[in-house]
Amino acid sequence: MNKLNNERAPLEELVEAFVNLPIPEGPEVEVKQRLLETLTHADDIAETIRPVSFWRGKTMRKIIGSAAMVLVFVSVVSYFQPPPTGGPGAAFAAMLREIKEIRTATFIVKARIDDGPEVTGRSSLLEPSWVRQEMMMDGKVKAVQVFNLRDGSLLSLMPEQKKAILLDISGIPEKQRQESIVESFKKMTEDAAEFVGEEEMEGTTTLKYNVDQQGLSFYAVWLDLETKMPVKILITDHADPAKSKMHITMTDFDWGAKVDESLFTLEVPEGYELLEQSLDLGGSSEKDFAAMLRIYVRLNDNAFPDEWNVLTVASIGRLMKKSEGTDEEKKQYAMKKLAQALGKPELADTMSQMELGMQLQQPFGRGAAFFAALTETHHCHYQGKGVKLGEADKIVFWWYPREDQADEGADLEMAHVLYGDLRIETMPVEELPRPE
Amino acid sequence: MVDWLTIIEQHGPYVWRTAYRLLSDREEANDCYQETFLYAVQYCQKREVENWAGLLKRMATSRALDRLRQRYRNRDELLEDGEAVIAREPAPDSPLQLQEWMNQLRESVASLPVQQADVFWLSEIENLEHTEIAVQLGATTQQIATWLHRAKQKLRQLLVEKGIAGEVRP
Repeated sequence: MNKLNNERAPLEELVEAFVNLPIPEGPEVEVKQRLLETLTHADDIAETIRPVSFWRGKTMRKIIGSAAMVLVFVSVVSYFQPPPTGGPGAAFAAMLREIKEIRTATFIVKARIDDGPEVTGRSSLLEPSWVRQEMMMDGKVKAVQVFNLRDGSLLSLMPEQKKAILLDISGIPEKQRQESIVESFKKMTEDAAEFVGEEEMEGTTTLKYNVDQQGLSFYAVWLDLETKMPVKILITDHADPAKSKMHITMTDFDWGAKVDESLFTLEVPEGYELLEQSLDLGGSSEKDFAAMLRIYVRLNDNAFPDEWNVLTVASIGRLMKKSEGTDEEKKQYAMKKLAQALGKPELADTMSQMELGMQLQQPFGRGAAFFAALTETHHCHYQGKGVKLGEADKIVFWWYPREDQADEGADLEMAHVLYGDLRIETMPVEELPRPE
Repeated sequence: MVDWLTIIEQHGPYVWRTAYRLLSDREEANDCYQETFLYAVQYCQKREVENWAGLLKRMATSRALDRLRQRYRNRDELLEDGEAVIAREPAPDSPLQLQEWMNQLRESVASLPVQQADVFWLSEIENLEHTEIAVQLGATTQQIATWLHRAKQKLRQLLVEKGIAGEVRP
């Protein structure tokens, strides 16, 4: 290795340095013990410990979240976040024990993407599968959503227009059904959080805990020192490779609240006009993904977005938004853009915002489903930044199977490549452009 | 029923070495170590494992390389934002210049196409036979040889560009 003292070092000598690199003892005994405990029960609880299961569950929650967001242009993603994992804390453990007995809860949820407008909702949960959310604006209930998480059914009501939309989402694998925030907390383990310290919050002493969800979501949870129950939860979604961030704040909790169970129903109130929709997420394909991209790009003045992830989908409302003008002018602008994106001459003037959103539900739901599933099982890379629709020589996105996820007989050497004109071709993995 | 205790005792040490050698960070190596075995659980539910050593070396290498790629992506974003780069643990008893070169090689390997990076590391650093790598990656030995050749070519070129190595001889 004498040459390493000189200015130049060839590859072989660096290889030798790596081979001879002194490695400290490791991993720590507790890491090994924890791992062994997990692996010992692998056969019993395989589905829950598999990292891919975790991702799949999370991903599916995001898919449903996307569909709902597209439907009403607001986020209900708080219900679809995965449970935090990792770190000690007696109060946290006490909270987890307590929350296991919780059947009902009410709270206020506020959500926004980056510095966008904040959407406020009043949420009620009825375990194990019901969520009711009232979306507020100017102190009035503008929309009500009742979600049966177990069945994948969503009833949206617009009291002012007396319109109801019943969405039946099918094709969700049994093991990937979404869960409420309470259900998520019930699945946490005692080592789920890192204790930050005490904080005063409006006259209440709280214990703050942080949970970094594997670099994807950041949770901050404030527990009331006396009751040991959450008084505030802040979730910041920073899914890779997203730069956009979803901020969700939950406050004003009433754990074990008295709720009117008759309100947790998919029955349409009298006097409402019903529109039934179905969204089949099963068997979505690359064509669905291309169709979704086409609509998005058309809305985005024929430019591919800089990044592509679930938040890109969630922010689609912005692309149809006109910052100035009357409400009617803003609506006309949105309808014109949407009609263009869908390749339709025009849309009916009587459509509500929710009905406009439904135009996107099928292509975006299925496209997002394909994309989410793909990212679990394939090496994927999006590089659409700067690409315009129709640029046939520009690669926007490529993917090929991960060797540890591939089905038997899958071709690991051949990638699928989506170009700027949205055609999809195959290309040897060796020839793919290197991610920058 | 898999005897995980035996597998961890037998194969855990080199999973750790592989993870640490690539990541040079105890915490990340810990995570990678656990992640490797969790992936192995999943794998062995689908298929019979004939060679645990080869499988775990390959999985540890792939997972660690994934983490390296993520690390450099994050660093590049931080650089774009004008923030500082987090330093990694220095390798014990290694001259600073050598450490820097090794870090450059880590980054270069992480920038290779996935299969080339896997093959290079498994062959040159982890000393796996081409036939074993071929089995693990579901490729032919000829492909492995080709990928290794291309990986070395690119790495030599990258080391030249970084000013670490002299001009590549034809």
